[in-house]
Amino acid sequence: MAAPTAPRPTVHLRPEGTENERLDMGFRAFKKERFAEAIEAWGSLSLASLPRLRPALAEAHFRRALGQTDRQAAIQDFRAALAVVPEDGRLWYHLGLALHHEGDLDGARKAYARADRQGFPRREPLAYVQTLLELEASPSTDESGRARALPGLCLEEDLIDPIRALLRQDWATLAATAPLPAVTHAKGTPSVPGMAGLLRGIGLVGLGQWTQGIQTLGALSQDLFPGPMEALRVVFLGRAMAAVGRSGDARKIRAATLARTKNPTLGADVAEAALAGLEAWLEEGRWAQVAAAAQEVLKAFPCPRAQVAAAIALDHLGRDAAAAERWAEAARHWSELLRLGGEALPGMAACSHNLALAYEGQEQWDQAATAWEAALAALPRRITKAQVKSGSAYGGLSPEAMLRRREWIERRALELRQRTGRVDEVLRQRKALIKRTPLDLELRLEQAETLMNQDEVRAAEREILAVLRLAPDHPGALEASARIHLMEGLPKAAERPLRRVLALDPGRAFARMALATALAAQAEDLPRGARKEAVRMLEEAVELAPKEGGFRLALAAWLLDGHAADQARLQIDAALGLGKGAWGQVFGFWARREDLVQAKALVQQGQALGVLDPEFFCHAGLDCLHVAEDQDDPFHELLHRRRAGGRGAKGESGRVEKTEAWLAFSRTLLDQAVVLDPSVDRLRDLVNVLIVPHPDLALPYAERAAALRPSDPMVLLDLAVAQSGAGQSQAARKTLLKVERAARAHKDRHEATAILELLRLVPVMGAEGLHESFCKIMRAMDGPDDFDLDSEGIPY
Amino acid sequence: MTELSLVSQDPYQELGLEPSVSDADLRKAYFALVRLHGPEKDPARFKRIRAAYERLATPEKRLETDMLRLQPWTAPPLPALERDPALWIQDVLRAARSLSDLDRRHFREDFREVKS
Repeated sequence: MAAPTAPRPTVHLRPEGTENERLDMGFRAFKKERFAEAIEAWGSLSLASLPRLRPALAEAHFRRALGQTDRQAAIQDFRAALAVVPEDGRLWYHLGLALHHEGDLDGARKAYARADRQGFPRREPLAYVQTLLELEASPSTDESGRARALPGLCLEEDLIDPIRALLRQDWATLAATAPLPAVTHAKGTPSVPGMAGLLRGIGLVGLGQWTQGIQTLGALSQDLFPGPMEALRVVFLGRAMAAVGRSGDARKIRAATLARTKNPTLGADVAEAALAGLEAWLEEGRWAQVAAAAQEVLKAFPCPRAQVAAAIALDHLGRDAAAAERWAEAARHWSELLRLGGEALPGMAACSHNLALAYEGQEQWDQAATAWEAALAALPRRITKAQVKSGSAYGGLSPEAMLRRREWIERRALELRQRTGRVDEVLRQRKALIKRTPLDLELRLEQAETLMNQDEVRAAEREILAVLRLAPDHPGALEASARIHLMEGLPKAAERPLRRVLALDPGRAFARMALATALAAQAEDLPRGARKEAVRMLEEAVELAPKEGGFRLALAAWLLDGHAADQARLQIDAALGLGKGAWGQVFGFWARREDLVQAKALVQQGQALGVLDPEFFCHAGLDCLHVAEDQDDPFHELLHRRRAGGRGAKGESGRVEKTEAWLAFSRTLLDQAVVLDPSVDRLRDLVNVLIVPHPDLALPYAERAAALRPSDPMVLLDLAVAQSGAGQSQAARKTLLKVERAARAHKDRHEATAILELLRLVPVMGAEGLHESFCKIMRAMDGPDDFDLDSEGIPY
Repeated sequence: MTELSLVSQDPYQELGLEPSVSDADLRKAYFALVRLHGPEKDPARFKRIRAAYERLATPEKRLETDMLRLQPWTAPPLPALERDPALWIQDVLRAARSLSDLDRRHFREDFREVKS
């Protein structure tokens, strides 16, 4: 039996092949500068047996390190190279540079020292970075960074001393810089004569010798120096220019340089110049000026003073715009403020709050929801005593008040998302919220409401039942449960929860109305013989919702059928007392009962009281038309007789007579609507409702509208359709020509194109078929399905 | 449609109160104003006062009103411009670094030949 084995170490994939093959593979990769591959190939070989591999492997690590953008990875490579050839001073030097960059000054110092000990041949650059390191470690100590005395080096005189003078702001020393001997230091250093000029110019400007400073510094080409050195030249040249009144030139060169190099000194100079009048502007409320100046500074330099100034100005500009309801402008300012403020400025929750309101003002619900969410994220979850005492926007709130605000914002954001139609997102977010706060019953009910609106009745029911399990008498949940029953056509089932709500709180408006509706629905389904039961139910409905005329009229109908005319009259009069709108409702009641006498009496009564408006006459006229149309319905008489308890049968002549009477009354009422409101809009309203079923009735109104607006292509098209429907094909053809002319001259190109498109179909269907086709289109548009045109262009 | 409480229709402003007023002080101030501007003396003002109070009368209404008002933002104090020293040490050191190998990218002279 085999002995138990230790866990296997992780197996690294190694290049396949023999030792020599792997060696060659590494060399080939190295030549192609694929150092990672070379390291991989060589890494699997034994360095002990292949001593010539050591420098090669170290070189591969070294070169890969130089190409690394990640400095830590580079340091690892330098260390790996040094592990192979620790005596290589060059590797120590570069490790020192990398550590120096990373701010590990101790590590860098040791690495430079080791490079020196190992005899790194480029002594000047090494001495320079060693000196720099000491200067950086303690820049204020005059003796720090004293360069090591290296025979043949002039670092002290031509580089280190001027740097020290700059750090001390020893302008006199700098101004006296003599032309330096033309010694070339490490590659990459500028030519020495240029350096001397730069140092002299800086010194002159530091001493206030502006003109000489400008001459000296201005004579130097910007290409002479690396970026940070060039920035110093521009700092001093800009200061001298500003001092002699050349502010425009100063601004130009500063901006151009800052665009290339970030330099706090130069940035501060730009800020100082741009924000020179800041206090006065703020005092005077010149917000636009403050914002523009501060933003200009911020484009070039992250200046805290400019940041706060811009924020103050933008907030004021936002408030001014909001006060004038210029919401888009307000949103722009607050967005910019939030962009600038980020995490640096305090109170950003208030700014996000205001931004959300600005978006709401524009009805941009999605953006508003996002801003509310940002406000919520910026609000503290807990408030300290110090914040309560501070009294700032949110800080002055008690923890309870803060919690209420958080909840309000959360709901608001959800509600707005819902408005944008992103219901799935809302349901998802709310579900997560419910999970976090399972005892928030209102939230569950909101979820149920949304689900109901999405026709997800069962899911809604589950939420409601969850609430009722936690709080069996929760009125909102009981009402929601009743709503589901009503939606499903189960008024009897809705009754129980509603009665429970009203037992707890008899004044709840929704429950009263819903119970009245449930009772009326049940009464409507009762057989004629159950009159007593129906009356009882409707009396209760009226008691629950006394201001709803519909329940009173339903009750009146049962009472009239039961020969309780006086009681019915009481209900009808009470319905009429509910306001102007009730007159139309009562007229409809008499029309449905086909009681022309009562309908006419009602109109007379209303006219005498002056309560009838054009709207009433329009609707009443249409009610009469429906009654007239019903006379042609073969089932109608049967229904009518059933309603009348088997009496009132009428023959053909009686039916025609009745139809005529209702039609005549309809015309009278519609005419009266036009008498009260003879506008084209009113006439077109009538034409629109009459044109499909009664083009002959629509025609006089269409003619009057066309007379009032003879160049309106839509009005003329109405007329053509009405003429076609009324059998006046020739007149329709003439009108169509006018329609075309009017459409071509019409200002609204979109509408004109639509009309001309429609006219294109006329040759196919002919003026005679215009009305028929129009009716098909209208019916198709009203119907659930889309319509299409057949091969001849006729809608089907 | 959002009912934003703008300056012109700010209920607190109408009642002459700060938004941080307590509920008790709010009621007290309301009754005092109503006594001062009764419906018979100044019906228009009375109506406005009532409408303003109506928007703050219950905790729910007050929360809604408060949340639909612009929130005050307290700006931090304006920092002074950092002008001292006239020349930033970091800028001098960066300039000095720019003359050194620390700012170089290519070091071909430090490469060693590798022979296969």
